[in-house]
Amino acid sequence: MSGGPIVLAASAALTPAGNVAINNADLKVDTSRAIRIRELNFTIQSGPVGAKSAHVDLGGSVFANVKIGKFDLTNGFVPVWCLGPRYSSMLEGGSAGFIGAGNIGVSGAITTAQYAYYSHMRWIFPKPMHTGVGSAIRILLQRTADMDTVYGVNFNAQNYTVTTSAVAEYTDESPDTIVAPYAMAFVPSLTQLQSQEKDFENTFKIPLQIVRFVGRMVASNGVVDEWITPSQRWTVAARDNDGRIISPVTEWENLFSPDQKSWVFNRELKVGGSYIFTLGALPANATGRAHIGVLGYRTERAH
Amino acid sequence: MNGFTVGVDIGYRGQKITQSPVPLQVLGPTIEPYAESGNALVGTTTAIEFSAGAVKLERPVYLFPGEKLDILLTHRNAIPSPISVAVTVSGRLINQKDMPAKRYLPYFAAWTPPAFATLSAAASQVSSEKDLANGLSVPIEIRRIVGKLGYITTASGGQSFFPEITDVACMDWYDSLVTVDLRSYDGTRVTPSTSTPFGAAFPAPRRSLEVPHILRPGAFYRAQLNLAATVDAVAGVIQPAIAICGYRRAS
Repeated sequence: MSGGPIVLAASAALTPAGNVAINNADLKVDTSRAIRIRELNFTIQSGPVGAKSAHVDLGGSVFANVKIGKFDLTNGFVPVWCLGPRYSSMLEGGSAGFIGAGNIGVSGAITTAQYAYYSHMRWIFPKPMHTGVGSAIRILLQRTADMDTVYGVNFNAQNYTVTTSAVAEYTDESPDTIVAPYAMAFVPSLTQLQSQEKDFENTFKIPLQIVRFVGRMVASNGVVDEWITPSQRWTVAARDNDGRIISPVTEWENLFSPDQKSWVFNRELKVGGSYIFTLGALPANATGRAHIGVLGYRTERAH
Repeated sequence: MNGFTVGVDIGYRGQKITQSPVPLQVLGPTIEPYAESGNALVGTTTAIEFSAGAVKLERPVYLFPGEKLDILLTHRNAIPSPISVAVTVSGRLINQKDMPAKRYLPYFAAWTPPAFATLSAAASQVSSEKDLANGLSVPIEIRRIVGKLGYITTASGGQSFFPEITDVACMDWYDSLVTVDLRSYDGTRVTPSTSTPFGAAFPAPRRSLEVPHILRPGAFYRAQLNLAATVDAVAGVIQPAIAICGYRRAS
């Protein structure tokens, strides 16, 4: 049983194609007791835009590089929508909320052209991560430049506000080992159809416990819409670096469930091991890209 | 409409399950946000507001033959219309010999301050030591702290209605208008500052801090909510509520 809850939270503005570091001071364990972090939450809010749609998801256009204390939690920048399964398509995929000057009229109808899109992502750690006094959560954010005009909304003219909160608990324990979550991602270019070993490689000197794969679909004009892409006709296959097939060629939706966009895996990845994903070519008249993430954890020595 | 319109007081064999009437909205985490506030059109002009929710008990309540839960529902007067409420309890039959030796009862305590009715002026609400408290004589295993914001429009022909389905996401905006300072009774901070955005303290989609811990008898949480003034003409009020949800050994 823990010593009670604590939340660390911070926000940062993110310009189109920009980079920003979330304020370390706000995400530092500035208490007299250590904490165990249970989850990281990301809320991405667009600036005011002129129209709304129910199909915009900002989680694929913001990439996060996360480190807690001395432990890397990502292998570089990972799309935040690959940090966990999808929990709520409606909330994640383009909630259009009111913002700025204007009126909310009868039954909440928005009478002015002031909207903001909100997307919510949640990374639940497989096991709570012990974080000592003085340690900080370091989050670097990066935003893609390919959010073009979508449904009449020009996202490239807007800054995002990204709010991160870590839900944690106080603890008086001083463990010898720390369970650190880890996320990797394969973000191919339009023409790239196969991941490389380094994309999903265990570069640690200890085994990685893989928990799940996450597969998200990206429209060509931005990371916005998982329904317009022909995902059911897109094939995917996966093998490990020893050549063992972990998934034969199958349709995308068979591997990554339509509701959670996730494949629960639960297998150990040995030191130096890796997974390689191969994508089928899209139909000639279709456009789209894949984001594939791997989530797991490893057990490190605390000192 | 949403679950802020109805409070519920639950008891079992004279033991409190709710410390005081708790809005249905904060009995549990958000499972499906678009079911919590709905609007069904009847004919062409009349709308019926509705909401649906479920509270999943992680530890079951055992009812012996002839026993029942005492449930008292309260119309919180947030809307002028009568409200129909259907309560369903689902479980399964169990042989008495399979009854566990240790049994638990859920416990809910909520703080529902007066709504922020004027959004053009800054305002604050502070909970007392009796609101988010362990009012029992035994420790409570807190499983979650739920925080939600309700919205009531006042521009619907003189009626007051909660937002319809397509406007639920407006709550995201209120998340940054309202900030929260949450501490335990001994001053230990739950939120990092006095002005943590409500949405950062209780992140979507579940609006629930799921950190199990023990709250000893007499211990409590103290919350302060601050509304930032907005120049925007919003025809409505914001109704916040925070609840602690947990279990204790059944006597």
